[in-house]
Amino acid sequence: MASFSTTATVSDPRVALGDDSVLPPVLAGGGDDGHPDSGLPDYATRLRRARLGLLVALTPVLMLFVSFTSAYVVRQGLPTLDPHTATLVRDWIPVALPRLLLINTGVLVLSSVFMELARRQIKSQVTLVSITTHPRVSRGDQANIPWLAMTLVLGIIFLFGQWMAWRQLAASGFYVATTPSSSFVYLLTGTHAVHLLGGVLALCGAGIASLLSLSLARRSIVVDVTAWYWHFMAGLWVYILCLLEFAS
Amino acid sequence: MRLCGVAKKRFRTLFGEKVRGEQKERFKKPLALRKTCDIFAPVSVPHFSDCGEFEQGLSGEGRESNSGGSRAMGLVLLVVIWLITFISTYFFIAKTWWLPVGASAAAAGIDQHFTTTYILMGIVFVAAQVALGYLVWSYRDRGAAFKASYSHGNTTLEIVWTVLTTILFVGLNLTSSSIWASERFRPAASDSVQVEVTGMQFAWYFRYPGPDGKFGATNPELEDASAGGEAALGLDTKDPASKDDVVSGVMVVPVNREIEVILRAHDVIHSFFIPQMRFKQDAVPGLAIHMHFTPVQTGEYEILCAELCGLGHYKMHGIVRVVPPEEFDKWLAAREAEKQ
Amino acid sequence: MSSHESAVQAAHAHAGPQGFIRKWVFSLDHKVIGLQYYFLALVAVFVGMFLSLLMRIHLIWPTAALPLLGDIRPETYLTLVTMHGTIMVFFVLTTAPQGGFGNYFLPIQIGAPDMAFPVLNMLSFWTTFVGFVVMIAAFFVAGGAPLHGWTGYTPLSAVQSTGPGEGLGADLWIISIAIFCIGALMGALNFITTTLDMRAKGMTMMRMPLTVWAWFVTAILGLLAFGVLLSAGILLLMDRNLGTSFYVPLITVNGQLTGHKGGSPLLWQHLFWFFGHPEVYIAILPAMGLASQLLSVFSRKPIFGYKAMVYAILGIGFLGFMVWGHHMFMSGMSPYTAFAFSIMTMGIGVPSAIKTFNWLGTIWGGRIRFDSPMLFAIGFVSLFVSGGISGPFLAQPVLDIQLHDTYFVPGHFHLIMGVASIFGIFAATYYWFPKMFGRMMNESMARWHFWFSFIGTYAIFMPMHYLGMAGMPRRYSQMTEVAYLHDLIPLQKFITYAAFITIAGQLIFLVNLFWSMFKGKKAVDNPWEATTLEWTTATPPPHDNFGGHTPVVHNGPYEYGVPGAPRDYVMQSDPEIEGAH
Repeated sequence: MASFSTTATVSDPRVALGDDSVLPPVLAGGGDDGHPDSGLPDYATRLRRARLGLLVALTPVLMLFVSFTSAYVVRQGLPTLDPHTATLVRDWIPVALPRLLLINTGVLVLSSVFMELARRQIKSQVTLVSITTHPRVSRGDQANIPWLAMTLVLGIIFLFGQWMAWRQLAASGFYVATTPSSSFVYLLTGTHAVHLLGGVLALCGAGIASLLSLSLARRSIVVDVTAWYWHFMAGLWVYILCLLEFAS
Repeated sequence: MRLCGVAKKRFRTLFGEKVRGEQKERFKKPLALRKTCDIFAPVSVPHFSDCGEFEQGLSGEGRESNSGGSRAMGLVLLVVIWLITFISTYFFIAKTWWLPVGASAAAAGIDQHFTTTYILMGIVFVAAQVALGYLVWSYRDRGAAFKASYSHGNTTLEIVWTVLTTILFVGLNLTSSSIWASERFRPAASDSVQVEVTGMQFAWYFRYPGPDGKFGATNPELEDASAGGEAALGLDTKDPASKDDVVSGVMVVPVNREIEVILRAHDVIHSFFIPQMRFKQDAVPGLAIHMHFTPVQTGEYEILCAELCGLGHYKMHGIVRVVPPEEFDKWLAAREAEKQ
Repeated sequence: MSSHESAVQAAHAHAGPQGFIRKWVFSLDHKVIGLQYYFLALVAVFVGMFLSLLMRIHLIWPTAALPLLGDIRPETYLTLVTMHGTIMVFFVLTTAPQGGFGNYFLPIQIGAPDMAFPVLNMLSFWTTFVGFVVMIAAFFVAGGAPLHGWTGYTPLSAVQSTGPGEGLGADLWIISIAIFCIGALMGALNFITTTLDMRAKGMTMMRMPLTVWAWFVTAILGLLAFGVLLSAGILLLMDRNLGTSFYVPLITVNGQLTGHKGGSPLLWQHLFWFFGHPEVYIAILPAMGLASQLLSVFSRKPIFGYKAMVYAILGIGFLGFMVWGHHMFMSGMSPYTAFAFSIMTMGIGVPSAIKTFNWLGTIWGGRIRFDSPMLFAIGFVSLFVSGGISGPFLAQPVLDIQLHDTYFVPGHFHLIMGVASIFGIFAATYYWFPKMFGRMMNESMARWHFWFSFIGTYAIFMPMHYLGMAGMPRRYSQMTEVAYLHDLIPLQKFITYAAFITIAGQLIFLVNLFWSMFKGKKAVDNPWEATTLEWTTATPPPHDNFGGHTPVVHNGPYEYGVPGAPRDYVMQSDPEIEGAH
């Protein structure tokens, strides 16, 4: 669905992107390292590079949680020596997870939907920038739904909800060191929350970039990369919830 | 001596250059001096360009042929590499500092495998180093007349040496697997002598099950290391099985009997290491690890802690006395009698 | 390239930032960042060497009092052991070859103007720097630095009461490593993205120099391994400070129950070594890549078996993740698992052997020039063989029973990691110094440095194998308490004297490095007549590496002695030449 709304206010199609590189209005493809004299590669290259960078960056995050998972699985089944009887005993007590976590999951999944809409929104702005900045084209007064802001709000609600869930856990007697299972609950949800906070900060950055009217190309790349990161975090959260709930 | 003197002179010359701020031409020296000097000071191509249009490397002739210096360096490299190789190999063959004499049933097989590994790896070691030294001297730059051979490799050779290396390495490992299996895959024999070995910062304690053949319960809350003996282990005297347990600061075992050790630790990881028995196993808190060995030679042997356990790690050692069976029975009976 | 062409190139170059802070402190230029990493590693290596000097002195003179430091107590000795290992492994061996030379030369060797994410690159250096400051801070807090060894086995490292230094010092140690992990991950991100996405036209993967392959695979190893170390560190911090029991079972320390129960000390070992084994390949792979490069350049011959070398690097990287259990044969791990790990470990010896054969094959038939980079490359091969050959001893559990935690182990890993890898750093310095600083290093001092180092390090570390065979355990602060160790003291004395001399020899390097920066003979753009792209550009390279134009690559990286070519080397960016294949 083409939206002719745009945040760009200048009419020169080349400057519309706000790119430092001098480019013709068409952005699509062109592959390689830009022009000999420009010093900056074109939009498509930068987007590809940013996405590749994100893919690479998500690998250690994945490894972190793979590592936690293996510790979790091993610890569950691990017998330990009871010095009194010199026999091996298992001491895993599953934690009853607060219902609030399900609501938080819904919030996060919804935020992921909003994030995707925000990503597509700015993507279409970029695609159509050559048309929308043409002096003869009039901009429609289409409602410009602030998907990005809504994602940010839901993200903050999620983090607040996680905090509330922790309070509920503590109220039912499960602190971080109470049992090995409770340690893992705090560990996994806490590490996820820290990473999501990083995503929230990236969204704030994208919002600030928009307010400061930084180049559309750069904003688009930031939103695109943050969106994929956000989806990964949502998927990771679902995985963590399933691990804690079902692998007990 | 002459070498040092000349080298020193070169040194001073170089620092002198800095003070005077001149570029000094490499001076021509008599051939004999040049060879030894060049180990420490090259007589070679100027690497600087003060003439602007210094066009590099026209088929290698842009660099002065440096056969004299190159020969000396190549030869010294060969000699030093070969000397290091032969000297280190000598000490391995001469066994100047070597494994202590084996005193357990497993020692013979383990030592045999050590020998096999040393021979095979030794051949590879010597061959590789000798080849390196030889090639470095043989293929030194001998002037423009000797061209380097242009070759990107040889696939057949790659396959051959890959296969051979794999067979050597993996085969060597597989030949040792039966010893590993007999030491570690099978549990101790049912009639073995049981000794529970407990490590703690920084001492070893040994416990025998007594006539009832059962180890009594221990309670960490009862531990009192300063009191030694049963108190150090935290022996729970309320448990009937504890009453006849014998606790000793010295490990006494009979010769030619399989000894089952049950390794425990109170605080951090320690490791129970008797070099002559070719026996080592970490003692891990939270685990009771069952291992076995069979001493075949009487005597007193030192037990060392072989896993960093704190500031007293270097002095956490014990003694194992391997005695004839009758002496062991007498010793154990006397200790058990004390418990009654 | 003549100096006239260099001047033209410089004129067309992209202007860099002005101002001291933006140019030298928070620079985004990968070349400056590379130098920053290098000098950080230089400081770290002298700190680490000083610590080892104190260790060696204490071992043979346990009761001696040192000026300023007083007498060294057993716990202080263990602190030295811990910090020496940690600083050397992280801040020298993982920093100089990859962060230093990799940052400087990877983009240039693939024809790129910079790394993919320059801001991230700058942040990665400063993160590593902060990590180093935190590590050093551990010496100065109450209780001092930790004594649990660079491997930090739990519960020794997980409970604050197990020994002096295990309080705040240990926490700072963990935090420093965690910060280092993050810095290293940022760096790995850049290396991988840059290598995959920013190669110049014609620079296919199979035309990349082996140095680039090595940096690339090293970055992948880091990417996969440092996350696991970070996870291990987080769990350890929780056990130490929040009362959790990931690693700590029910134990008493100094007669007190610690309040933990149910944890597994072996969990730490698994997590740590899952990182720790790839880490040693991170330490050695760049040096292997460079050795390939230098042996080719200075033999005037292509590398023997380029494809095999690439497969070997990939094989070492891949297998490196499958062998971590060989550090745990005696740990209480299942003996069946141990057997599986040992077979895999013997397997990883194969690609290393292939590389050695190929290095010998490169020298064979060559025209060797004994410039200082080549001396260190030859030394590297010798040391790599020596250090590698002791591997199969330790890889077999039956022999490891006797050798584990004896001096045989540090003999092995010092030769291969502590010396061979360091020789790689020296070789890189002598080789690339002209390109980085526009001057040559002093060849005479370089040769003194080489002989001191080559003979000295063999004298230090070869005898450790004998000590290990004779049963000398690791991490013993003195040899006075065990009877049979007294006989080994003379050998330890020999090692210490060799260490004095070798360390003194390193001062020659230090003097040479700084003197040459200011007073070395000016260098031409390609003093070694090498073919890779960094030698096509000005000395030092301009801000955007190639003076405004992107190179186009037509040749492989090792076209030396091509029959029929006008000179005995063909640059990668030269027109394609007949006779090259």
